Amino acid sequence: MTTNFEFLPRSSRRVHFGWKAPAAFLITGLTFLGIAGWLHVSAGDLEAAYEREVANIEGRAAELASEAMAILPAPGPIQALRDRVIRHNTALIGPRTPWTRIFDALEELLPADAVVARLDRMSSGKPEFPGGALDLKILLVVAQIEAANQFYLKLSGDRRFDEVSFMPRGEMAHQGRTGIGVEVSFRFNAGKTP
Amino acid sequence: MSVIQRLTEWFLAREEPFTLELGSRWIRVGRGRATERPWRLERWGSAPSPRGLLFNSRLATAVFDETALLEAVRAAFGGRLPPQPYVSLILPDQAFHLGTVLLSTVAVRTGALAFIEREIQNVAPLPLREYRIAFEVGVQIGAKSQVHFAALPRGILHELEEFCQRLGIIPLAIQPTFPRLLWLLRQVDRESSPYPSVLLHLGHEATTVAVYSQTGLKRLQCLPFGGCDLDRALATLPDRDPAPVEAFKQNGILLLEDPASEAQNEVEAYRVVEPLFVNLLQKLYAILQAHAAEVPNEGCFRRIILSGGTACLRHLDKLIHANLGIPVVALGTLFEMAGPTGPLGVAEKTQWAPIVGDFLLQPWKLDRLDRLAAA
Repeated sequence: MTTNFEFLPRSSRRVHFGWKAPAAFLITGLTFLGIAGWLHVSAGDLEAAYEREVANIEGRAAELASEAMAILPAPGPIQALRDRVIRHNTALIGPRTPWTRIFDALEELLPADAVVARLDRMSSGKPEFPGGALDLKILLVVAQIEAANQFYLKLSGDRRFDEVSFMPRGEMAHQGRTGIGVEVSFRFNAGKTP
Repeated sequence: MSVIQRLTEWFLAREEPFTLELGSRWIRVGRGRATERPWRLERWGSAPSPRGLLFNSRLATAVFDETALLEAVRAAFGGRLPPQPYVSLILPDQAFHLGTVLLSTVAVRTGALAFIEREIQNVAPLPLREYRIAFEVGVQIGAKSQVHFAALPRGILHELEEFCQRLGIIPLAIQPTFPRLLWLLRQVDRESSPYPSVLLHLGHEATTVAVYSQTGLKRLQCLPFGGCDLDRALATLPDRDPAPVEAFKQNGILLLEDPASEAQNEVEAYRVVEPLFVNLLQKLYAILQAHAAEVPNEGCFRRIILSGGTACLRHLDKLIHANLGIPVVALGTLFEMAGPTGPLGVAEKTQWAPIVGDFLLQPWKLDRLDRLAAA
C-alpha cells in the first residue's frame, strides 16, 4: 500500500509555523538588539572613562613636570658654582685641560660612525698637552664626506669651539676600517655654553 | 514541483503529526514512534463518536452533528487541542467505494480510469464527477492485471476540510483504513508462504475483506456488516445494555468456546445474531471462492487475520475457524506494542491497529523511498 489512496489534494497540504517559531525569532531578535544596545552604551561609557583617565594622567604629568622645574635650581647659581670650583681648582693645582668636558662636547657633535684616529696640540702639532692647553687638532675617519661636512657645520655653530678649521686628508685606513680622513682644528672655550 | 512545494514537503516530512481515526463508534487519536521495538504509542486518547455520525459512500455528504463531533474530537485529545496540530485522518472504509477489478493489462497500460469509473458507476448513486477516485495496479495474472480502487464522494471530502478548519487542525492526509492495516501487516507478517492471507477488518458499520500476500494486495471488498448490526439485533432482547456489543466484548456470553457445539444454540443472544453471522460467513466464503476462481493456484488460504473493534468479540475467531476451516488470529497477537502506561493487550492492539499502521506508513511523507520502492 502506498500513497496512491491519498484523498487530500496535494494543493491543500500546507505548512503551519505555529507560534513557537515566530516567538522564538522575536525573542532572539529582541535579545540580540538588547545586547547590542547594551554593548554600545557600555562601550561609550568605557571610552569616556578612558578619555577622562588620559586627561587626568596628562594633567598630573604636567603638574609633576612643573613641580620638578620648580625643584631644579636656577642656571645662574649653578654656573657661578661651577666657575668657583674651576677657580679654586686652578688656584690649588694650576690650570688643567678639561678633557671630560671637551670629549662630552665632541661626543654631542661627532657623526655616529666617526673614529678619532689621532689627537694633537694645534700649536705644536704633537700629542703634548701642558697644563691648560685648549687648542687641539684631531684626525677623524668618517665613512662619508657628507658626515664630515655636517660635523664641521655643527662645530662652527657651537660657541664652545673657536678658530675651527677643516682639512680633508683623503681616503685612509684605520684599525681595519677605511674611510675619509679629515683633520679638524679648534680651540675649546670652557667658559661658554653651546 | 515548484520550490514552494518542495519546501512545503521538506517541512512536512519532518513533522510528527497526530493520527485521528474518525470511526463511527470510536474516535481515536494517537501519536507513536516506530524507531525501535516494541513500537510505542507516545500519546493516545479516545472518545465515543457522537450518535448519528455516518460515513457512507452512498450519501453525497457525511452525516454528523458538527458541534457534537467537535466536542468528541476535543475529548479524544484529552479535552484540549494542541495549537493547530498536524493530523493524518483515517476514515472508515465504508466512506469509500472500494473494490478490485480485473482488467486487461493492455487496458491498464493505456488508462484504467475509464474502466474503474464504469465499475464505480454500476453501484454509485451520484454522478462520477462527484467522486474523487484513487487506484493502484496490483498483481498481474496472465494477460490481466488487478486494479484496486477507492472512490470518495467529494462532498465528504469538502465537509472534512471545513471541519478541520473549524476545529483548527491541519490535515496532512486523508485515507481509508485498509492501507494502514495492510502496511502494518507488511511489517509484522513477514513469514513467506505460497498462500495468501485474508484481512477481516470488522468495523462498526462495515467489514473490509482484503486478500493479500507478501507480493501485495490481491482482492479488496467492503461488506455491509458491522458492530451496529449486532447492536440492533441484540437491542431486541429485553433488559440489554445500550451498547450490547461492547458489553459482550467485556463479559457477556454470546459465543461459546466451541461455537459448533449444540450448547451454542442455547444462548439466547446468539440466536438473535446468528443470521447476521451466517450472512457474514457466506459472503466471506463467496469472496474467497471468487478469488480462488480468479487465481486458480491460490485456492488455499494461509490464515484469516481479524482487526477492528467488533473483532474483539470473544470467540469470534473460533466461530469463523469452525465454519471456514481456516486458521484465525487477531491482528494484535502479531506485534508488540507499548502505550504510555505500559504494554498493550491483544484487544487494544487489535483496536488501535489502524493508528499503528498510520505512523508506520507515514502517509504525509509522500516521497518516502521505501514506500515508492514497495509500490
